[in-house]
Amino acid sequence: MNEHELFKCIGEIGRLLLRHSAEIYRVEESLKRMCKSYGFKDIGVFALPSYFTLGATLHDGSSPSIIIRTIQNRTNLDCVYELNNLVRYICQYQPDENYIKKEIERIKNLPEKMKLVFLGYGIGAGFFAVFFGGGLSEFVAATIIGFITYFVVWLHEILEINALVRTMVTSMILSACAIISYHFHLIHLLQSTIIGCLMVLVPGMAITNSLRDIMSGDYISGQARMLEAFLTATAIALGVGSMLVLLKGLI
Amino acid sequence: MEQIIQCLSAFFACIGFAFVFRIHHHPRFAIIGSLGGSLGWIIYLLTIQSYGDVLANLIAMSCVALYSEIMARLLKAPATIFIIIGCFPLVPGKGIYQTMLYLIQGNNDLFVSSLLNTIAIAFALALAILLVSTLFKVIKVIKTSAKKVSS
Repeated sequence: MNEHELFKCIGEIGRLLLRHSAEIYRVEESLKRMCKSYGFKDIGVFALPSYFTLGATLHDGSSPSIIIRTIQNRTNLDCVYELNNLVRYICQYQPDENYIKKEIERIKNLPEKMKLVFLGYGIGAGFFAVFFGGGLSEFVAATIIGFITYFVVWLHEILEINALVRTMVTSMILSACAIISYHFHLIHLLQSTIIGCLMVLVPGMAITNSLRDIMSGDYISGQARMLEAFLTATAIALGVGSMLVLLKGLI
Repeated sequence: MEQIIQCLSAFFACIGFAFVFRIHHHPRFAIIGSLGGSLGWIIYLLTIQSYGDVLANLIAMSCVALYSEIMARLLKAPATIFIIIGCFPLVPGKGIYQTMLYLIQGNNDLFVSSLLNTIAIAFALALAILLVSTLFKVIKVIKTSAKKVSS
């Protein structure tokens, strides 16, 4: 068993976990437990929302370290689940590096069904419009705006535009669509349509993860997530607000 | 009647968001997480009359988090999956919108009160998750130390 290769594999698992937005303490604990199960010593892990270092002393006495930075974050809960299972398996059975490499490749190549994502944006926006008091016409309008949102987000991801600008532009476009359809009397409740559509942008995950990180002692990560939640909320408000002001004549 | 529609639409909306957050290969996770979302909304509706907005959010989110942690133990999956999906009906999207609307309208009193309310709800949600995950950590520590003592 080549321990250096193994160590690299462990680093790669950590990178994937971080990238698919697992919590910080999960990343740190998984790395620590995997290293421990192979009998590495002097394990040091430090993770932030977009960065981690991992160092350990191997059995031959060398002490390699890995520094990884991942800027692009995309939530992928399927991957988090699969990686969690892999970590569990590694801690229990200590497989060799070829097996881990194969598993990592499999998890990386899990097919993303973009049709389902597209459908998800529509269903989510439409039913949240109903949830906030809309009727059938609001449901249809919000579903169509949800589909448009998907394309806007997809375009931003291709162009690698930063997340705050993405949130702001997306909320501008969706509120403009809602206001225009309100102007032509396609919908009767502007508020529930807009809120339903912007629920997908709301930083639910950042809010829920931030205090969890703080609880486990990661004050910096928790603070970063809290700032992210606050800034995202501000970006949404700015985007919707600017459109409400600009298109005031249509309301 | 309106409440039933809300709970049903919360369920379907959460399924949509499960797809957005890429739960494609395990449909049961999507369904279980979405059930958590409707459960949270039912509890919110039951408690809002007697406890007020912020406290109702706290109680409802605690129930969602408890449900998620239990399901995570049963299905051997990370609890985050269910919490991320289940928190959406309670997340203050409406609060953000209304805060912004009052700011534009220049209605400063309502703006400040709804801003504070939104922030309070966000903290209540985070606090609820904090409480429940601390509880489960304590249970885990007690279990492992009990094992050590018995062996």
